[in-house]
Amino acid sequence: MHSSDDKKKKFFAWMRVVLFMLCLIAVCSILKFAIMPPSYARVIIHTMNDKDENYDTIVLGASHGRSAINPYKLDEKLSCNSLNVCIPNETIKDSYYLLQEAARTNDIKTVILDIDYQYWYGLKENNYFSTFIYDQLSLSSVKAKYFTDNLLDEDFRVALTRWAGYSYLIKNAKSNLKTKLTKDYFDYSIECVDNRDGGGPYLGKGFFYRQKLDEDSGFGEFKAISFDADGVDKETVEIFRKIVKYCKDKNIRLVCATSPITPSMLTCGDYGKVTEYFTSLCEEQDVEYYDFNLIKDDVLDFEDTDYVDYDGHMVGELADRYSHVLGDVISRTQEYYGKESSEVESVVSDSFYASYDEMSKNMNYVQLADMKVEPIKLDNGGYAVNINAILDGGKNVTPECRVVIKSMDTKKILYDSGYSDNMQYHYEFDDEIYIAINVYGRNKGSSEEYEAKSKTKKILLNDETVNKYLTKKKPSN
Amino acid sequence: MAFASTGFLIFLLVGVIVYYLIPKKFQWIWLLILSYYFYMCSGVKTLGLIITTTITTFLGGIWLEDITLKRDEWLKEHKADMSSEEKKAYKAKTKKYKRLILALILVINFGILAVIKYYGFTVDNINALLSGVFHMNVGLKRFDFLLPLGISFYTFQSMGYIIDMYQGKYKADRNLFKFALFVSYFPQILQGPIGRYNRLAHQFFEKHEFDLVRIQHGLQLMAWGFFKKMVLADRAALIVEEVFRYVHLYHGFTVLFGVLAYTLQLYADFSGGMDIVMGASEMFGVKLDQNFKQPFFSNSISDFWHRWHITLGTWMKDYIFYPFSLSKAMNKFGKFTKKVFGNTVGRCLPICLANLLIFFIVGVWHGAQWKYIAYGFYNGFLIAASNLFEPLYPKIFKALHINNEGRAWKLVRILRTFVLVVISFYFDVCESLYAALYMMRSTVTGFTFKTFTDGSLLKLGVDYYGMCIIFVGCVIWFIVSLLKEKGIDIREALDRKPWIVRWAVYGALIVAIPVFGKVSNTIGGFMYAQF
Repeated sequence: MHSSDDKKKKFFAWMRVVLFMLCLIAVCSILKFAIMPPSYARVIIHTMNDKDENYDTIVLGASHGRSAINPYKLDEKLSCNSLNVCIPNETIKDSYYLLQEAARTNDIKTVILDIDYQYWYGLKENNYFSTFIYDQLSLSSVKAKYFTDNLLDEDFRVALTRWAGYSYLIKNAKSNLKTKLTKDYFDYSIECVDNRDGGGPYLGKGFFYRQKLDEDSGFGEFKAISFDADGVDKETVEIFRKIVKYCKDKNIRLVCATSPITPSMLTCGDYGKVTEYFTSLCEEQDVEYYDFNLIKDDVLDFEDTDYVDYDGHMVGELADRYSHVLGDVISRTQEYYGKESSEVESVVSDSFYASYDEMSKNMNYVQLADMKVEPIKLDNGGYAVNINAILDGGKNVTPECRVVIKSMDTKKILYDSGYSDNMQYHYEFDDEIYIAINVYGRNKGSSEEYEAKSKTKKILLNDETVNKYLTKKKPSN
Repeated sequence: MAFASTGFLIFLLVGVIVYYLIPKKFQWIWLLILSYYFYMCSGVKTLGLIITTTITTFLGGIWLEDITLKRDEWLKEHKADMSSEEKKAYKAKTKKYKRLILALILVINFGILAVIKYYGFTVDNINALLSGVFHMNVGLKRFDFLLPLGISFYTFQSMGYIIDMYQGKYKADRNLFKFALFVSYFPQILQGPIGRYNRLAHQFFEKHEFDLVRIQHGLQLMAWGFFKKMVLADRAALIVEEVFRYVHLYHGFTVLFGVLAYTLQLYADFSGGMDIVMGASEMFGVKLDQNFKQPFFSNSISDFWHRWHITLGTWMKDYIFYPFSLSKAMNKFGKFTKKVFGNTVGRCLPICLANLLIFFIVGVWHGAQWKYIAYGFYNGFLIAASNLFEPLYPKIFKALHINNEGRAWKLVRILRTFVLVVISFYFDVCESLYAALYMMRSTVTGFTFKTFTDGSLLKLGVDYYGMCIIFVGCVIWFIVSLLKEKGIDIREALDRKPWIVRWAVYGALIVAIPVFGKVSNTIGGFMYAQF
């Protein structure tokens, strides 16, 4: 009798555990469904895994690749069925697993890997949000491999409750549910994706035809390229090697390409080191690499206005032209595939400059490389700013500079230096003041050509700003 | 392998399942395998050090015990032939021999700890001294050693064992592998508690039957620990990071607010870590010593150290305070002070000196920096002063008509202790001793009421929503602590509730961790895991 009671007790105890686990899973699933915004990754991975389609060419990369490569143009040029699987914030690691996922459901012949140096260098740990592609992979050996390769050392919340990273968006739960409980959502329609406007209409196959921006919209933040080969993330390089090996093992043609970025970015900072590094890395791995920043003007002509920001996201019109050229390069080299990569690349060498130096000699530009603003407290109780502009120019250009200072309170222009060769300025103010500083550069004497404009720098001139500046300059301990 | 990692949870799950599936006599071997696997996950390069500590302590223990056994046997055999002086002389000789062995083991193991943790600090200070005072630029070279996982914890635990062996408190372990488990037991190796052999070892080797309630209790404790760590400590850390980023950046109440945030961060992080450790261990049927007992209900600094990092405090008391206070030299010193300062003060002075020594070591244990030494001395000084002035208290109470048994006075004492503890954390949180002193001054000199009204406190990395979470979390924690302080066992009280209420509480706690926990870009390490 006692034994049977014990058994009953045990059974109910275990039932309660099972019930609890089921409830917990249900609550977590509901929270995930309600909190997480509908993502683009979900739609494109679903498109990639569509059983009715077989994509033989896929493009992997991040936001640059998504805005730059129009798969319809590639299809025309290469007579293939291509899909652009570039997803903003997709890392090389994500690309590796997306490639395997794509190969699981498609017969892949060619992979175009869009290389954006920013995903290789100075990577910030961002584990919560870096699993957004893992999260959308279908339950398969690829997902399991992603988990065991990458998530065992991560915070358990990353692997088990990724929605936790979005818990601060709980206020959006109502609108998320409104979207997610529609037929469109269950049909994986792009209409249900959060931020579905990728800068322009979605043409399908992972491509958004981005529109040119109005002149007043701003052009993003300008940051000169800073690159040092020693700073390249070793894990990323290791994963790149795995991609190369995977493609070689599966007899998939891997074409590495860097989409062209704005001439302003290209000509300012360390881009020369970037192209040198990736050329050397791909050479070492015997993989084709085409840096379209080195493409000759007569093959592909582009300027800053062909982009929506300094960073290098193309508008649709340039993307079409670029995709055409990319398709052409791949097509011309197709029959040489299997030979040494350098030999393959040599087929199209007439379209590219041999090096960054050769390219920059043939370019004209003016660029504000840096702007240093130093707040100063004056003995008479007033304040001053020292502004130091560093302008960079092409071989045939002599840059000149103009500084404009506006009051943020009255919106009135307080100083306008006019254009001159002078790059250092000093302005004084009687009292605390909130100002906006703009620096312009141009080719000497020119009114329009090769003009560069800085991002507005706003600064509140008071004791706190001066102290903070001095503290940052000389940390006390 | 971090406690908050997915890998650790899987490791624990597999560990527990296998533990209860294998024959009971092999359970301790499985624990040893798990412990060494856990240790090796942080790198194999430092494995040699924990093995060295294990072997030297193990052999030392046997050696010490054998000497005692042989001495007793010899004395028994020659009982009749020896005079009492001869017996005394023989005992003294063996004691000296044992002391030498003990010293050897202590030097080896504390030596390793000292070299690894304090070599850089010592070299820096010697270089600074030589160049600053003697204008000699010797430039002793600094090496950055790889800090082995939990070196302070396992060294202190092992040295506790060898001192107990020297004192003949219990029998030596004669199985190297069993002893290795005591040194390396994985839940506690990262951040303690510092265990005692007589309370821990037998639990490893007992046969443990599967008990669902025990597993539930372990998981509850772990969930509570993760709640404290991820919801409170990781959020408070944002404020601390901002306020103490630069020494001159903030003043007045903002700095005090930062120190209060640090107090919360440290307590939630360390005690949360302990809950995880104890919960994980409990699932294997091994109960570890408590490391916290509602420290912020303490009514004096001395009381605080009986409730905060208890196992370190008791280690210091048993292995340093008492041996030092009861040593011949201190006896002589006590007699001297009694003669010079009279009975009351004279009796206190040796205790004060012992307290200063202990807290100097506590400071050094925390890290190789002057600020930690100052932290230790600050605590030591407060306790010593409290001891010294204790005889005056009744007179003061009488003169001021204070009812020292009343609730109000108890509350005043708790608040006073809290303030003193918070002050001590300036040393801990600031980058250097200079920064700590500067920020203490700046708290007082830069105080302005504007800070409360201009919303600047909400610009320190935690917004209004985050502040609300911290506040509610602290209120829940306070209620739990208050109940514990009143002697109510929360888990037992919960066990008595209907199962649906019980499981709803567990569920809410588990869901609260991801919903209200601070999302960080990197896996949140525990502050005491670096010791």
